[in-house]
Parts: sequence; structure tokens; C-alpha cells
Amino acid sequence: MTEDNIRRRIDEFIKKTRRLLPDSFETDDILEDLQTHIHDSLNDKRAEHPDADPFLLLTEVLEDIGTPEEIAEEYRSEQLTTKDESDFAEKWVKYVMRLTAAVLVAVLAAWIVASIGLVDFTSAVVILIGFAFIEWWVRGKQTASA
Amino acid sequence: MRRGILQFAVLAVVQRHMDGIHGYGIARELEERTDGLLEVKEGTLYPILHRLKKERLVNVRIEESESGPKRKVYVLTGEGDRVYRELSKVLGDIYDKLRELQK
Repeated sequence: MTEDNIRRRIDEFIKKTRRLLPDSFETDDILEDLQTHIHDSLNDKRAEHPDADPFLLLTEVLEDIGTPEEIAEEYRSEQLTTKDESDFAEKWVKYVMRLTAAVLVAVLAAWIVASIGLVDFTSAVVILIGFAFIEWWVRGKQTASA
Repeated sequence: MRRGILQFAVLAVVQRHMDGIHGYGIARELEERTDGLLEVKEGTLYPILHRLKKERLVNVRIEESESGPKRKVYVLTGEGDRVYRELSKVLGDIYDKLRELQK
């Protein structure tokens, strides 16, 4: 039971931190590291204090690490100092790749819908690209407000 | 300036471990070996490691763990070793010049 509670608490902590960080591969990478860090730190504490309540030790570990808000703040200040031209270029390459993938998926889906005969190909492409744009816009807003 | 020092310090810790070291180990070593002077927050350490990886100064090896999630072990690359040696020399020169200025 305690082990389940520990796992649940760590998962909640990671999820809360994820909501405060941008949706990116870097965030996934950093959160994986953070999760391992919490486990390693807890294992260390458990080895040092074998008779202590593991859940209380986890609370200590999380207090040492800081709140998700503090972690996100640290992350942001670290990111602000490292923005350079290569990041800018990388961001645009990513945008173009995402856009190309979205258009390809929309054309493929439109071709399938048109072949069934529900709607003509051009209308289907326009509607699906419209949905893709709305999804991209909403996601951008959510990331900005997190 | 602190960021640059931390990057160098992280490279220095990784360089000491030929078989690699995981993130938690780096954080502990930075704190213990510098008497807390270079204690680094997790929100700072992992973006630094991510960037060093992106710049191909460190490599990552995945290690299975019996008591938790898989662990990433950071190992210095040949390029990382070259950059570390170069930075060590530059920092040594700066330190010498500063000592001379104090005389």
C-alpha cells in the first residue's frame, strides 16, 4: 500500500510539473530525469533511515527538490539565458515539420473521405486543415497559459 | 556567469567517472565536493545536461534499475573531453592573471 502511495505521489508531482512546462521533447527528457532523481534520492534516504516511514521520507525528498512551480521557474530562468540563433532555427524547422505532417495527414484523410463519397476532395482538405489549425492554436494557447 | 561555471562543473564531475554517472550522482557530487557552494537545483541541472547532450559533449546510456524507473547514465564524449580540457586551461590562465592583479 505504501509503495502504491509513493508511486502515486511521485506521478502526481511529475504531472503537476509537466503542466507548468512547455510541451516539448526537452520537457519529456527533463521530467524522466527528475523522476529518476526522486527515486534515487528516496532510495538513499531509505538506506540511511531504514526504520523511518518511507512516505515521510518522500515528503522530505520533494521538499528538498522544491515545488513544481519552483522547478518550472528554475527551468524558465535557465532557458531564458540560453536562447540563441540555433534554437530559433531549430524551432522553425520543428514548425515546418509539424505543418508538413499535418497537411499530409489532412490530404490522406480527405482522400479516404472523398473515396467513400461523403464529401468532395477539396472541401474535405479545407475542413481538415481548418481543424488542424484550430487544434494547433488551442494547444499554443494552453502552453502559453501554463 | 554562474551558468557557465555550473556547465564546467558538470563536465568536470562527468569527466571523473569513466563509466558514467547518473543525474542524482552529479547533483550530490557537486554539493559535497564544493561544500555546498555549487549546489544545483534540479530545475537547473537537467536542462544543463540536456544541452550538453544536444551539443554532443555527453552521451547517455540507459541502465535498468530494480527499484525504480530506468536511469540515464551520462558519459563524456571525445568532444566533451576536448572542450573540458580547453576550458580547464582557459580557467587556469584567468585564475593566474587574477592572482597577479591582486599582487
